[in-house]
Amino acid sequence: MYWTVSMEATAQRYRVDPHARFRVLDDEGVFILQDAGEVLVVNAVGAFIVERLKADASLDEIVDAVTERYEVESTQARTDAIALVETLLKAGAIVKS
Amino acid sequence: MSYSDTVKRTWNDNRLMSAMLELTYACNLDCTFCYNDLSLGGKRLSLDQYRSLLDDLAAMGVLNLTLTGGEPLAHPHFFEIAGHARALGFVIRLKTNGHAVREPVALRIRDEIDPFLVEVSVHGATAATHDRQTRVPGSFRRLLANIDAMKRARLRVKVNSVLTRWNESEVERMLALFDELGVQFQIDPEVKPKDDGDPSPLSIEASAEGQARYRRALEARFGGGTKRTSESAGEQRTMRAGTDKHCGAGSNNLTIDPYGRVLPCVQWRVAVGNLHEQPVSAIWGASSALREVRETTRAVRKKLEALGDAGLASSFCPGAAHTYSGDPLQVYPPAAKRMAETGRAPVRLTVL
Repeated sequence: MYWTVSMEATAQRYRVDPHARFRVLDDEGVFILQDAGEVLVVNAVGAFIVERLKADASLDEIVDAVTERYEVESTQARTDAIALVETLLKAGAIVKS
Repeated sequence: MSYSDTVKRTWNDNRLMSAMLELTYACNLDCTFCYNDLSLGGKRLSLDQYRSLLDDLAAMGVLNLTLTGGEPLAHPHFFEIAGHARALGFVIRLKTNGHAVREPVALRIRDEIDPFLVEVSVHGATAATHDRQTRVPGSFRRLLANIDAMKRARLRVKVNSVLTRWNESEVERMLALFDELGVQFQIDPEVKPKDDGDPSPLSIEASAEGQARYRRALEARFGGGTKRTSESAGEQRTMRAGTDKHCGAGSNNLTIDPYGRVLPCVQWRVAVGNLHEQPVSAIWGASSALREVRETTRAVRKKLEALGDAGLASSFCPGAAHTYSGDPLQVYPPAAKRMAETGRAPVRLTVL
């Protein structure tokens, strides 16, 4: 499956799909998936991660940032970040850079 | 958290989410019931001002941007403005009459703007009816060709129509036409006065028989029991659960006219500031007129709830009320009619 993210490949960078739009509204992130005509809402941590993706951070760098900001174990942060990225890839919200 | 919950939170928090830019009132058609106030004058916003405005809106976190007019493509810098908007990542809706969107323009719109939706107006199922409305012979045939060009360019197209005395006899054919075109569509059963309150467009509002025919056509198209959301008090309650406001006018959306006047929404034509004097962020945060609008949406909500199902099912719009009477709390004829249909006599709303 093309959206699978390898635990070993966390140096990969991503960006918002050119046909999707993203904004942070208060603490949440909203994707408008233009081609599908769908909306995807992510929570505050998700919005934080997407903002880092947009800033061209790698997954490794994002995990560090999440760990620092949210007082979560690195292993858990990595698992959650990978799960989110897989979800966003599958939905067509982001693509690999 | 659902998207609708997020939207309602923006109402509560006065978080600007959607902006509509009326780029120009110039138009290449001459529609009978055009609602624009063509007598308005003032200093038009420059291209640099539009760029600054869009930068400000993006910095404020605005998601949705609608470009409209008049005919937005008639603005001399339309593609510069829309292209800048695309670069800033807005979800762009383009409201156009479609008359100028031949294939090269459709392709340019797709490539340079990538809009979420292009909305065009179709006024009937026949050239005779549509061209009578636009007062431009050949406009119907040209629009159908242009809709085809837009679809070939892979633009998402939606058709907007208003039910009138002129097209009510062909509403079934309109639905069939929209299906044939393969487009989303929305038919507004209510003709509205012009933005300056001029009621002359009401002379062609659909008859009672036409309204009934329209409902039957919708039921035949979508199946029995079809009801517009606005007709259901229960749906209205659900839509507004979690907020004490009637709508997002001035709370999560605004409209800006070609002369920089900032309005609470496209229907509510009261300026709460002007971009020639202040940036939009300053107006949004500090306008006393805007605060008054937000409080009025709360007052409307309270009053409609006090009226029960009749009030909630009236599709009351404070902007339309203001256009009819100058009072955003005054029940206006179409809302009163809907209240009466729900079994309650119309009641004049007054501020608490």
